[in-house]
Amino acid sequence: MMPVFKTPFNGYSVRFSPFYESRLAVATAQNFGILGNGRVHVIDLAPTGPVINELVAFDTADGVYDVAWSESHDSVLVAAIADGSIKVYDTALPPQSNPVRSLKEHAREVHGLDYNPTRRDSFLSASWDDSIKLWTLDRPASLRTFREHAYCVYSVAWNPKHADVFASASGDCTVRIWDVREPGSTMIIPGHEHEILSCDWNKYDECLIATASVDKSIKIWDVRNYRVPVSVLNGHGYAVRKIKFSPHRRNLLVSCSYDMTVCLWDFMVEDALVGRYDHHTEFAVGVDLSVLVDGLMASTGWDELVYVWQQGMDPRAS
Amino acid sequence: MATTQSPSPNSNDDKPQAVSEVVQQANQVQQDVRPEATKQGVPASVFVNSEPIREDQVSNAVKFLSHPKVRGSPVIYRRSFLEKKGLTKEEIDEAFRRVPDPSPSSQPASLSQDGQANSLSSVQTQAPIQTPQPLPAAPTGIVSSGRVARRQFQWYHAVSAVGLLAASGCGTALLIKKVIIPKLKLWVRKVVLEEDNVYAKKIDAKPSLAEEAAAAAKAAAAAASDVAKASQEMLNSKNEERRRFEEFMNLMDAQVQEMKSMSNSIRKLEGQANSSGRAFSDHDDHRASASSTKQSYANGNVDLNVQPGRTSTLPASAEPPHPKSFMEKMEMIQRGEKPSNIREVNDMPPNPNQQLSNPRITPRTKPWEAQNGPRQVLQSQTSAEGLNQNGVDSGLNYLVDDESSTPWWQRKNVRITEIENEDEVKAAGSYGVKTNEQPSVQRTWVPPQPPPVAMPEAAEAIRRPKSAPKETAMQEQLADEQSAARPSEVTDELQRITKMFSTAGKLNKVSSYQVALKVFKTRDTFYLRVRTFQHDFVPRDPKAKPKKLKYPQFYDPYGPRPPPSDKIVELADCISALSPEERGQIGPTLMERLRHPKMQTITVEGMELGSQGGAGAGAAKTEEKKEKTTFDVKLEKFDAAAKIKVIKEVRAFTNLGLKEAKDLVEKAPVMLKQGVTKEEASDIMERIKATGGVAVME
Repeated sequence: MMPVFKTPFNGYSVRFSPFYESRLAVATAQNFGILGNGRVHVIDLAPTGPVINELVAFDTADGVYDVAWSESHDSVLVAAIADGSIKVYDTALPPQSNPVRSLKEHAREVHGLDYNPTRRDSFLSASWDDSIKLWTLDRPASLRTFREHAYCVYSVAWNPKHADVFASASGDCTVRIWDVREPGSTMIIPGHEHEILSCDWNKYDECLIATASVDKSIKIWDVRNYRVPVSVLNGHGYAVRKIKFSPHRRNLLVSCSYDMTVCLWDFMVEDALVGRYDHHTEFAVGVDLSVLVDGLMASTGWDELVYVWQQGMDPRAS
Repeated sequence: MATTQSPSPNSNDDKPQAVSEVVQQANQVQQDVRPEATKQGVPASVFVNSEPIREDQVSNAVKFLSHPKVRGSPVIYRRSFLEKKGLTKEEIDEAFRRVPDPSPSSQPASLSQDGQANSLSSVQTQAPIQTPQPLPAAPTGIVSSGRVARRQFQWYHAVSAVGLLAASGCGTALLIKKVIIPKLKLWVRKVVLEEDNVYAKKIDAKPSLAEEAAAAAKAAAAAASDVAKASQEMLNSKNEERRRFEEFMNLMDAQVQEMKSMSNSIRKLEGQANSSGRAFSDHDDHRASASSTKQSYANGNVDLNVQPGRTSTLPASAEPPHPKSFMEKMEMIQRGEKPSNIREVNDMPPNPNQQLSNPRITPRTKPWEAQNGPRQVLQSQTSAEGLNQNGVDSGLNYLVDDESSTPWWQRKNVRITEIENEDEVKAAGSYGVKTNEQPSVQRTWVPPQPPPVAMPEAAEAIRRPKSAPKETAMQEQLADEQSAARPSEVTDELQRITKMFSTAGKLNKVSSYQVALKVFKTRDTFYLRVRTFQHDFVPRDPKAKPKKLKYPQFYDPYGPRPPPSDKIVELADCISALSPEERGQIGPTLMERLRHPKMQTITVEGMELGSQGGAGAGAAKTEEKKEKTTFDVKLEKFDAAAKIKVIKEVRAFTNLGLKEAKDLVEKAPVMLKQGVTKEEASDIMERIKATGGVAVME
């Protein structure tokens, strides 16, 4: 029996904690994120039964589009807010002391966050004001601003092996690879003909990057030869909203899409679709794979539900 | 960038081409130097463009950028367009460098745009720009012609241009004011005068000051009377431009069409009158709001004030059905109403200088880092009682009561579960007395538990005070061990490990636990990777198309099919004669070769079982088969040109996948199909012969 967690607002993003196997953070926004409040939930999987408990929830003035756990502090998480600010929360402090910080520099909504998994001290924010900002927890101002995209930046992802390299996916249909030591982007991959909503690096091959786009496809690119994709994964019925490479399996990646399904892919195999879960009844917008527990995955959608299940089992099983 | 191509050569293009030719030679040397410079500057970084600049792309980009309509758009959109066409940064920069300076026109909008394109403006054009008055046409012509003639004389021309401005300032002030108001006419005049100046340049080798003054006065005086002529010519030039940039405009139009049809489909779907702008107009919307002049090449048709971008754009045919309540909310907000459930929330930090709490757990190495070798994990501060304190956290107490000692979400199916459990329990036991010396891989939530009796050697080995060489050497040994691991040989491996421990040098307890854990982890993950693609525990969607099994007939040793060919039997004999360690190496080696894990697992097992049982029976059976009426078809050779056709044929009657069929055909002469009747065999032979191969029946 797989547990379900019902959020009062529409879900936007879910992330496993890199410190606690059973802990997740969920970003939600009222009224589908168009206008209204938001809430960050920190939830915990009960060991005894298939129950999810909410540890703490933080209310925000505007919708929360993304959330990321700190890699250095086990109780700290950052949230991307639709009013352009980034809130830092510390679950070890009493709820009245939260948020600990509010970093407001972006001019438009902050859509994506990613914490550096190798250096563990910095994180990036991707915003609809076409820019990406680099932050650390100890400074109130951003360290760097990367402004080259011509349209909203939807997602950023750190390279799992090279601590200074990251990629950004944007609505201008390109993916840019950046190096924080360089002033500008180092590579531009014109990956799709439509907006690119998400990108992620392969954890075991640092030159492979996957992009998910509004054109319903997921393309895997090798940055050494980026003119032609390594693989194209078709199968979603609508735009693919988020993808994530598995931290445990080299070739596995998971994606969620506006066709309400969460799909598992093995891109090295000819028939790449390995699994499909259609437990959501609205757009599936957030998906994550646990770094600590092999095969554990979570997804959330606009149907206000968060599912956590083990790969191979039915998330709605009871 | 062949798409924005084939402008008919006309006077408008002559100038930029001439410029580019003149400049190109000068730049040739620089261009050669530049790629080398960049390569030296960033040694061996995979994430950097290492392609040389493609001249054809650059020249296409130059033609694109020289177009006046393009000139009117913000630089960022020009760059974005070129990037989408696949140009690299260097190529785009080169194209911007080559495009002749845009005339410093009188529009404040384009002034700011020129300011952005820093690579475009050269020194002498900036001088006129800085003058408070927008320039009349004459100095424009002079300036651009001067630049074309010789770069080194730019200063002289700049000075002369400024002087001319001062001289003709009062006389042309009125005229300019007349011109400012109809912005369009001015733009056209610039176009027209560029054409004039092309001819002017050709005639005058080195225009003298007097000539320039005369030309300036003439042009300034004739400016007012040219307005009517200009508007007529504007229409003509417009037609030409439309022809030249048909594809470019079609691109925009196509987008607009998509947006329109999407709006129609939305209307149809939801039956709502006013849902047009929201969900799709983001692209055009954004650009329409950004570019202030009519010259923007995005036909922003829908004008909305609601923040664009909140829903992602979609191609018209694939707009997902948004939830009904979503559309209702959108409508409400577009009308200006606020949904009722929003409340005022103060989410500002109560204490902006609040200290973050100290981290209680050290960061763990990521699974991909652990596999690639031990890394130096950044040690963040841990509190002294890091281990014990974790009991406080409610999330960690769960293991105490569970009889299987793992939480429900960790229980996996079948063997993976058991292995995982064993590992964690062992790890738990080994961590019971852990010190803080090597905290890089901590499972701090695992309470101490005695290891199961089944592994006495491991427990014994771990408890003994051990010694070992440096951990890196241990890792290498473990890596070797890893490939030899087999699911059924846990005890063998542990014996090997304990032997390793006992023969090693000095090792304190902590490192041995580390090593033990890493062994289990690596072994675990190794054959987990082997097992991952067993689909028995992944529920297949019943609606999905049935999986096409790609196992060729002669890999299946089970009846009722005929037994494997001689070659396979021999292979199986060899394999069964191997030692256990070597047998364990077959798996990964084959996996590398075949890159098809599904097939590989079956093959290994099949060969295992088949060789022992069928070694004897197989030999007998093949003899029998030869006497009977079944036949084999063997592909002798094939025409190299017809290889693809042969592969297709082979695929057709062996049901192999593309890669397998290709490998098979390349190995010719090779057995294609066994155990078929004479008619089928001859039919197969005919088909292969038809495609250009040679097949033999036996």
